[in-house]
Amino acid sequence: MSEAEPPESELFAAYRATGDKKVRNRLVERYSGFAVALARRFDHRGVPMEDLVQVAFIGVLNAVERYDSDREVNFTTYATPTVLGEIKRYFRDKTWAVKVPRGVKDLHVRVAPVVDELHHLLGRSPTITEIADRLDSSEDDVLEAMEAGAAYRPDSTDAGNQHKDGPGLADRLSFPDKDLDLADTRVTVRALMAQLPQRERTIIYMRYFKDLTQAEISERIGVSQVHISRLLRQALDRLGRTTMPNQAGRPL
Amino acid sequence: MRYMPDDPDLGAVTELTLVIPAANDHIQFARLMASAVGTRAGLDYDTIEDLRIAVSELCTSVTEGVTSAGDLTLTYRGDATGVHIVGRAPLAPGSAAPVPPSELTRQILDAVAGGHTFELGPAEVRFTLVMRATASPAR
Repeated sequence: MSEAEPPESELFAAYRATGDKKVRNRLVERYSGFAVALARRFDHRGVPMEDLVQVAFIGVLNAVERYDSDREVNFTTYATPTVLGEIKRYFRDKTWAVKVPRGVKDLHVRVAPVVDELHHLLGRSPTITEIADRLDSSEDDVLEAMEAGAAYRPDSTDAGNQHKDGPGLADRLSFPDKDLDLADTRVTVRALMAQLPQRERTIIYMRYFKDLTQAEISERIGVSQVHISRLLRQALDRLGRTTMPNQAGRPL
Repeated sequence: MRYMPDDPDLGAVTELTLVIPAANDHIQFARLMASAVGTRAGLDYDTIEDLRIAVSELCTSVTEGVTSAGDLTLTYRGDATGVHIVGRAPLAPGSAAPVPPSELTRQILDAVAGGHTFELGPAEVRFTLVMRATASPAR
């Protein structure tokens, strides 16, 4: 017969007194079901369940380290915000890696180039599922991000503001947004590129959207770098003539 | 969607109602609407994430805990103070006894929501959720 587990309060007291990692690990193990249950709440969001469980365990571990059993609150009540915070941070860091700041609007900014990229790769407008897969995000998040983007429609910025004295929605949203300008450019470029022959379109895409060198494009397409260079120049000339009839040949 | 008369101190107030089948695969719409209202109310991403978690918990408590005789009706109100949601679903007469939200659900709601209630009445289940525009505890 296995030895009875000591009460939770005793384990916490023992850990606080000794700092014994074995005791700490027993506490974490005791709350493994709790960690898994919280991790499951975030399932189907493009992250393997075992990763989520690991993150939840880190949250439990942090909570064990900080929990004061003298407080009149049980451990799971105390640990829930810590574990949820850990999981959310994980999603945030994973989704918005590197330099993109936080916020719904920011995901919208990431959606736009992915839509462009998939449009070129698939030759059609991508589905929400494809965008979500590409962004390693959920369909919910993509729809939400698109909705956030829709808030920028210029014809709706003053809607709902009946107070002449107060700031309008347009004023409240009037922060500099370089990405809106870029979005404008993207629309123009997409329309122009549609007029190019397939091969030139592919090369332009690889060079300026995927940032590949001429040598890399040459390898992928299987033609010489000199030929790639010529095709690129030809495509840029064509685009330049279309967009700036008075400045033919000026690169974009 | 309709706009309530503006309060000079609160700015534009949005109130809208969403009616969905009381089933798990429709909770997505409740979350999306919450996200949209939260965005309009100026909640930050973290708070909107918390809002989505809270909406999921409460709606799932309805779809899995009770046998509803009809749809789940959600009323969303967003203003500068945050988002306020009321959910209602009629109970099917003679159905199995409703199951209240689990302890874990309650703890999650305590962690993410500014305020919440869940009431099992004789004829309907009703919940409220408040998500304040200020920082929520789970960060």
